[in-house]
Amino acid sequence: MTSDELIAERHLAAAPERVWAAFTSPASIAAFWGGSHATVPVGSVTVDLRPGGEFALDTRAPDGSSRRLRFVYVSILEPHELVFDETTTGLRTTVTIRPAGGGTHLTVHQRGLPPELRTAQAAAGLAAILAALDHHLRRTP
Amino acid sequence: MPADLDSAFAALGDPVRRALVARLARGDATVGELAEPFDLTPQAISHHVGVLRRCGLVEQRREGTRRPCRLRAEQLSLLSTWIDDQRRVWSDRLDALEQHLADDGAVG
Repeated sequence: MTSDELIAERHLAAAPERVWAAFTSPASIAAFWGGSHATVPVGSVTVDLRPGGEFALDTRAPDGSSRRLRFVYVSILEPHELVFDETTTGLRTTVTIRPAGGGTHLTVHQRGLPPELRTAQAAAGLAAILAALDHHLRRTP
Repeated sequence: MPADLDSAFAALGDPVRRALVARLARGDATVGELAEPFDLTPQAISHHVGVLRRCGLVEQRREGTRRPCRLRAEQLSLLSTWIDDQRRVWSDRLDALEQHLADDGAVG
């Protein structure tokens, strides 16, 4: 759990530059970030595209509840790689955009755990927690 | 990701809190009992327990003068399914991206 996990990959029938634009322009982000389960008001999206700059948006769930998500850009390699951390948890997401077959191959990697849990020692600590949890669940009816 | 899970991940970023969770996984304990193995004051432990309580990982009940803490194991187990949740969220998001790029391409 210390390394990046492949979360998603997709072949897209669009040039890398268009995919890059989709990930970095507020109107496009608003159009797809919420997927089919949430909406993102276009006015809520802020993009300060530089290392250390903030990327934030509101997601509105079908029940009407709204949530502000905040990220900080770590590195920006236009149009190939975008790395950002979620502010609250430190969770890092890396989006890579590569030309492939006349379109784009996109991958999303994430660190499964916050920075403090990334070291081997911390991972061992978490493994111990999960082992203890497993034990706990076994003896709890 | 539910707000609780978000804050649970943040809460578990701290080594003392991870150790407290590990200790509570072995059984309920009061703040005083939790403080024993640590070089920390009960007040400091109490603060950490407060953080764990607010994110839903720990609950505290009253038994006379004792206030034992209990690990809400079901909350902790949510963390292990978090990666799977992220896969689902991103798959859904990339479906929407694909659609967006197709629409956008058709217009432009």
